[in-house]
Amino acid sequence: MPRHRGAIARILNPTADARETGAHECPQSPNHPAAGGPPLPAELRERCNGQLENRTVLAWSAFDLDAHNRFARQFVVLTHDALLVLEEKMPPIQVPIHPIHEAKLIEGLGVHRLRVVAGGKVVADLRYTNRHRREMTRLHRKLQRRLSGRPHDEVPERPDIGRQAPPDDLCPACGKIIPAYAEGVCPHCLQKRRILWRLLDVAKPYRKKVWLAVGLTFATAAMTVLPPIFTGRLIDDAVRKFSYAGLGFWALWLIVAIVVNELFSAGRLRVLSAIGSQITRDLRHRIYSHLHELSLGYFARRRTGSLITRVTTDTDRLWDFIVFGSVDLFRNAVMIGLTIIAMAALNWRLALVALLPLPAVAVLSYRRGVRMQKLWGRLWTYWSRLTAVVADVVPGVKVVKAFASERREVERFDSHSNEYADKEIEIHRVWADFGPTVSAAMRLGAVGVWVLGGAMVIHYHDAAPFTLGMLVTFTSFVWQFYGPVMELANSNRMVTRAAASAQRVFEVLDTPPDVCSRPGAITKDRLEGRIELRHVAFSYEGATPALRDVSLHIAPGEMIGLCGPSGAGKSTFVNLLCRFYDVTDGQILLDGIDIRDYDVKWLRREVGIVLQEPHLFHGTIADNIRYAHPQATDAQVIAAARTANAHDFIVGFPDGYDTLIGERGQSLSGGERQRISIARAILHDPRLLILDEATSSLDTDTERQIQQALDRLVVGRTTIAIAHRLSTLTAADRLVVLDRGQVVETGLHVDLVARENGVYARLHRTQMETYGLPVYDPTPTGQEVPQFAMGERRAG
Amino acid sequence: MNDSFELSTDDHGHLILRRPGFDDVTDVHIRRSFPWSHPDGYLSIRDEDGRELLLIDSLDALPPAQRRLVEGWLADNSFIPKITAVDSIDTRFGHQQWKVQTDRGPAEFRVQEAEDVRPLPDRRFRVKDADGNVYELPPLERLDPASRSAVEPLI
Repeated sequence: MPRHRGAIARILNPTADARETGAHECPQSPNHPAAGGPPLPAELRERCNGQLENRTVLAWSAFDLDAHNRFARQFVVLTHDALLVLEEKMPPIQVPIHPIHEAKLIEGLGVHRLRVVAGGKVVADLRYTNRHRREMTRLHRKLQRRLSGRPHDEVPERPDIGRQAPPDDLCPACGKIIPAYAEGVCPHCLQKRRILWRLLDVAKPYRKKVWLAVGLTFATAAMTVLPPIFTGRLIDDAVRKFSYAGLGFWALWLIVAIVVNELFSAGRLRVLSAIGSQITRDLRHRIYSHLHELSLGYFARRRTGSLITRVTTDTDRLWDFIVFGSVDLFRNAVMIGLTIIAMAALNWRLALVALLPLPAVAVLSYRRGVRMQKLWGRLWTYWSRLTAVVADVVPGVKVVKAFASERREVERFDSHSNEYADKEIEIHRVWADFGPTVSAAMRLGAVGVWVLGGAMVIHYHDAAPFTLGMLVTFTSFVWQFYGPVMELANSNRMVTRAAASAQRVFEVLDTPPDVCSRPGAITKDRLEGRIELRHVAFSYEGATPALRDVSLHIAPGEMIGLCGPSGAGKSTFVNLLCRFYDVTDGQILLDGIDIRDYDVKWLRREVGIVLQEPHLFHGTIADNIRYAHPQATDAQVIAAARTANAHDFIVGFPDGYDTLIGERGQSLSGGERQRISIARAILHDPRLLILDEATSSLDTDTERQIQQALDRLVVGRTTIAIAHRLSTLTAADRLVVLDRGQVVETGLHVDLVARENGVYARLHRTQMETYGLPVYDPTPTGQEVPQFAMGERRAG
Repeated sequence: MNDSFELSTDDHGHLILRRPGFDDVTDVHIRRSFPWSHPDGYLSIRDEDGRELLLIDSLDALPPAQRRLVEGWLADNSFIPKITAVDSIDTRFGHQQWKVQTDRGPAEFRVQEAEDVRPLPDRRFRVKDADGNVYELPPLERLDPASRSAVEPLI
């Protein structure tokens, strides 16, 4: 599939590293069918039995459960006038669209249903698991749109630019189905060997060094054959002839052989460790920079720990494999080959005897390798469980102490620790049994060689065809021979581990970002800040929609107060506006242009966010304020801090602006951190400002100071402020109330609070009660609570 | 627990809750409070928006017909296949690719992290795949030897 090849080629070809500079560039241009949605595989088209003729396919999806909740492989295709249901081994069922009066997604526990009702009867009840949730949701949305009769051109259908992997795609290489979870990488084709070959591709820039290393390895392996031969000659030509000169001569050769061999060895290690470090550095760089390009959605799906492991441990393991593993494999193979040749040249009958225990040793080693691998894997699980206990308890030590449950925690730790110890003992038992077994097999083989070889020496009277020296040479070979055999038999585990690591690393690299700039994306000199949402819908990973159908106009410079109960979709709204995610349906326009047509980096530079719990990076306060604008002068930093009401407390620190954040004893209070983050936003100078619960976690006094800072910040910018505490939205020009993913009310505070059953009025009443303020009295004579005076446009 | 209530279904398979003194509620949902540790106790009857209307302390206290209805609804609206045999688990690529037989037919799925195979107190295991689907694995001693040896290294 071209998409993968493109992605892979990009990763493997270092010259294609434009991604670092012009990052967020889409892997491929979005030349998709205008109807949207993934193209229908030929297999399905065939099964539709010609029913697709003269029909436009709008969407299709697999669904995996039959009416009795049993697994089945079935498909549903939505065309402009009908729904085609393809059940296993059944002719397609056609459901015409126009009589349908309801199509509903029913979310259950593990089983979801698309239920279609026409003429008061359920005409289709398609059941599916979470695996097909995403596509089914998409299909349902399209069906809904057909049913609502909303003209199609109202919001132009756009192909997903980044994630083009249609679920259950067919792999062009093997023809098998790529399941959706594989994120576009065919697991059938992704074999162990291929992954390691890809690693070799990463080594391409270091081609010369690699060849040097291979040459040196070959030389080292070849040279190990020499010392036994020299030893044999030393015995035959010197010792047995009582010649001191001969002794000196052969001893000298032996020394030369050993020294040269070790020199080659050293050179080989040096070259290899350098290559290994360079390759893993490249991989680390690629994986880390690629991580930064991936969308928030990717991070939401993964555990942080697993991502950190990929960047650090997995790349480190690959280093190990490149430096030692791969070459040892090669060297061992060469050594075994050469030793066998040398032995056979010397005496083939004796060679056969020496090789006798070989199959047994190989089989034993392999078996043990498999068993050990399982045991190691299990041990690793126990170990991570043990560390998880510690990692869980240490940050919560306050709670442990408060409930006086130290004893219980120690017991919990001990039970895991005991389990681990038991498994470890088991492993060592296997290990302990195995070593002597193999060693015995080898030594018995060596005895065989001694006996037969000894007999031959006696038989030939220690002369021409077989001498004592040759016997010594031979036995040395035997010993030299078993080492590589055992190592090779053991290498299975190492190869497997390296392949797993490589797979994890490449999986990150192969994931295309969900959100990226389309080729030829637009940037503007100045953003006015006019925002328009048209029928925006969004759901995270096929879950229940977070936004259903939101339409809204925001004028340049306007300040919108976004409120509503938790889970209403406020944060999602912001996520879409920053383009952390792309809408699943509808359109967001910025200055009249679709947000997806802008360059992502440019867009984010124009948008500033102040979060509830700002993240400050390790570094000085000045560094943190400069984060968005590293070239800012000290004077600019001070000016920004002043506007944010932060200057006074910063200068009050002994180290002033040079105070290191996160240093022991220099932890900042929530209010201080917040003001630093506001200073950061001020210096960033965005056209579009988002305040996400910026003052929620602060006490009233600090809040006032921050409110003041924010009031200065919002001037002249389009601002969207999310707040739980409605009192912080006093400055807003207009309030937008969200509930269950929909805009339920918009308007001024005065109007909204007067709506008897309104969502806003209800929120307001509860908050008034909670904070002990007088409840707003909607009677005409009732005076409005002063801090809620709203409706005047702010100056500027 | 409110003693008098009655559940019934309409033609669309929706569950209807009738209680004296209350309006009928159509399309109520049932959730188990302890789906793994105490599946037959504390069943929550909720409206479409997830507000609890009623908490049934125990299935045993229900009249047989009502109990069948509740169990039938739960079976129809939840999907947790029970694994009966494990054909293979491929761990080569860092995740686990399971091939299994279940009471709902053969299945193949991917388990992303080792922690997604969670031991339950009664020696069963709860296996969660990369899509978020959940499977039940019986205690190891109830599996055939081949399945057991496939699963054992992972737990």
